[in-house]
Amino acid sequence: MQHSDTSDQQPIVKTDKLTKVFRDFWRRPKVRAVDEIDLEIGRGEIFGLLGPNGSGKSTTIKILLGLLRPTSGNVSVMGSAPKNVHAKQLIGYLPEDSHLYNYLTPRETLDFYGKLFDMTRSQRIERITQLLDMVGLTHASSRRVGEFSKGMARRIGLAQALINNPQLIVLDEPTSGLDPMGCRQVKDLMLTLARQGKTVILSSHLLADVEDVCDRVAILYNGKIRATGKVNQLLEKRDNTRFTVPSLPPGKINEILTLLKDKIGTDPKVDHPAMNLEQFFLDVVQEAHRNTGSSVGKAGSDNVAYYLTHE
Amino acid sequence: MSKILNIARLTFRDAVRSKFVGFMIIILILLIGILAVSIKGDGTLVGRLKILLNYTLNISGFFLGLMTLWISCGSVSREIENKQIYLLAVKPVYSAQIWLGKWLGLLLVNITLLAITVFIIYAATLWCKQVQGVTPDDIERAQNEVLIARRQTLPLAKDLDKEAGKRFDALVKTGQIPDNMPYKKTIREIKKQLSAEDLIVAPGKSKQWILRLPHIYAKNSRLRERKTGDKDTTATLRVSFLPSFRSPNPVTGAWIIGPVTNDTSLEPLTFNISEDHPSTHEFEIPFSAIPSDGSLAVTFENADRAASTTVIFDSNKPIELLIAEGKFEMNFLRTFLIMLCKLAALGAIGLTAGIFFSLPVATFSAYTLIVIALIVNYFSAVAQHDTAVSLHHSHGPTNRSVAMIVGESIASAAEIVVNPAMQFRPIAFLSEGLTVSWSLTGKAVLILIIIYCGTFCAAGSYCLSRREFDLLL
Repeated sequence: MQHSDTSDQQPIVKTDKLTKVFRDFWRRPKVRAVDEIDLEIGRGEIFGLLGPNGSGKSTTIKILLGLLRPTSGNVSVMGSAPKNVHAKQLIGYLPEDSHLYNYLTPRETLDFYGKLFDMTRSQRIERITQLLDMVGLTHASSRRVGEFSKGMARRIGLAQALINNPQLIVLDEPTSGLDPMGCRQVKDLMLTLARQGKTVILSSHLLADVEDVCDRVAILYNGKIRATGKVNQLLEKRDNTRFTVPSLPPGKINEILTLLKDKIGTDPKVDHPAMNLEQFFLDVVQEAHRNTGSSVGKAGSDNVAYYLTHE
Repeated sequence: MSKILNIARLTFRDAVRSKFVGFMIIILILLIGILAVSIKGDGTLVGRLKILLNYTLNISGFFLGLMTLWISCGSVSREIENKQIYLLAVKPVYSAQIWLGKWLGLLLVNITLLAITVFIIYAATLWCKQVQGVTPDDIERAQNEVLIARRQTLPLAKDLDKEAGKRFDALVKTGQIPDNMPYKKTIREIKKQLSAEDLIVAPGKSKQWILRLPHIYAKNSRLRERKTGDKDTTATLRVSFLPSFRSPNPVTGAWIIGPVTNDTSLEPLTFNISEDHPSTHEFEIPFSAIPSDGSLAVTFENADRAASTTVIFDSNKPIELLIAEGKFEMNFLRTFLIMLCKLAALGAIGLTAGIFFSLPVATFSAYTLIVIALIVNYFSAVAQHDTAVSLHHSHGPTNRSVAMIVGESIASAAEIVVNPAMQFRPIAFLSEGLTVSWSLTGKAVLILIIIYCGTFCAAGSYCLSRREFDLLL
């Protein structure tokens, strides 16, 4: 597969005053969906696009993919125009709904998309096997996609987005319809891909997902970027400090609290850190899996496809 | 190319699983079956086969045409509506590859469906020969007249312009042309008169036609033998005529067939006729009677002096010379190919319409376009016969308004675009046992596939590359 040269310094995605105005039948402006957006996303970054419904996230993504044309402003993806066929060789895309051909099996679906990347037969067979194993659908590879649940279709959608070992992966609500294990797996996958130097653009309503994986985010409202920056910097509460220590006996706690009160002049608060629900759920399911085996919908090794991490 | 084939394969799979296609095929097979059983024609096997081939092939073409338009309109528009195009458009595929892949997939669908249909029609044709009551003579006649490919040679057209000019001069000299009569209109009227006169032979008069055979048949007997596969084959002269009124007496006359020049080495053939109810008549002419230059003079002498019966010839084909030159099966194959070219062109129209509109709007637009094309072609054909309908400004009044000029220009442009595609009617040839030539098939490929589909491909690909897929039109 040919990969174009994009130096580490060169942004993978760059927009300059990107604007999209939807017009009515008479060409009169109807909606300003994207309004002078400036973005610069680098190699190996996981970038989150956040915003309420109608804020312009999907429109921005569609412009980046060449599905929509900008009304004004500039956009470059992998150093080329979004419609450039050579740039598309390096892009993987998972839309908000998977939009697959219902009459194809997962294997046929992946084979169809693989052929569009000029992959050889042996390459396709190898990657399809790895991807089906990765998304846990090897056992359902000969069933039609139309028979799948939303979550299973989503997994195939994700697999097709990765068939070409892309350098830029655009994921629109990737965890929608997935169970917590699937969500965790997708998030782990994103982190793995980023570690390989691949760029991920993530659009999601699930703020916890974005918080877990994204390096930087942009929050959109009415087509404009309202806030942007590194996630930990944006979320940092600079007027509070937290200490974490191993579990202590009550006497010791009171001793430390008194000491702290003397030093800072206000009453400090004490609580026990709680496990989040996602982690608790995963622990329970892992235990059940050890005892009873895999469920009907998904059964896999949870490994990331070998070629995504070793090529 | 692999990307195109990949998309074509998917389009084919998508189409053949359509319930609409299944329904149409069942209806079509039922119709062909019913027609094969119920058609009687004129009671002869020849008549039955002619009608069977004509009706079933035309019905198949009509149904498959409707189906092609429907599938092709939906092929892109449904993908846009279902947003499956998102995944296709973001892959490294040119819009021309998408268009060609879809078109090729539709072509594969058409090849499959047309092959099924044509095979059933062919089987029905063979079955008709086995029906009870059909004699060996009937079968032999059918083999010679319908289940065969015969080359048709029509008489050379007369130079009516020259003759009309002469008659005009003569009429001017005798003062029979009014001063205010426009020249063009007068010439047109004279030409009409000459055409009508050309079809009648009054009692005691004669009329001659000149036929020019292709050299392959006239000169080289070995080539002819190889082409026809028969050493003893003959040419057939078919004439079509009627008496001017219901005469109680038979039409009597003589057909004299011989060289155009005074070639004394060839004796003209003479066939005397005395027909009670004349219509179509056929004469067998051995090749030895055809001069080496391929020019043949056919003369009819109306010998019915007493009864005063004028003979009127068919305006379309007064006489025609038919030479067996090939097998019915190959003729059928060429008809199949031309029908396929037509379906491919319809597919190209539907596919391009589907890029702009949603499925119902695209289908309606494509059907409308086809209806307009048929209307333009119909009026164009009518106008050529010098009737009241005219698409040409030369027949209209001299003082024309701007609207008329614009209208005529549009009509002329529409004719230029539409008529080349409408000239291919192989079914009429096949059912008459006439050769559907390879040159006609090649011409169909050139015009319908290369020019028409190529133009739609260029337009469709450009529009697809400019299309914003998030917007439903």
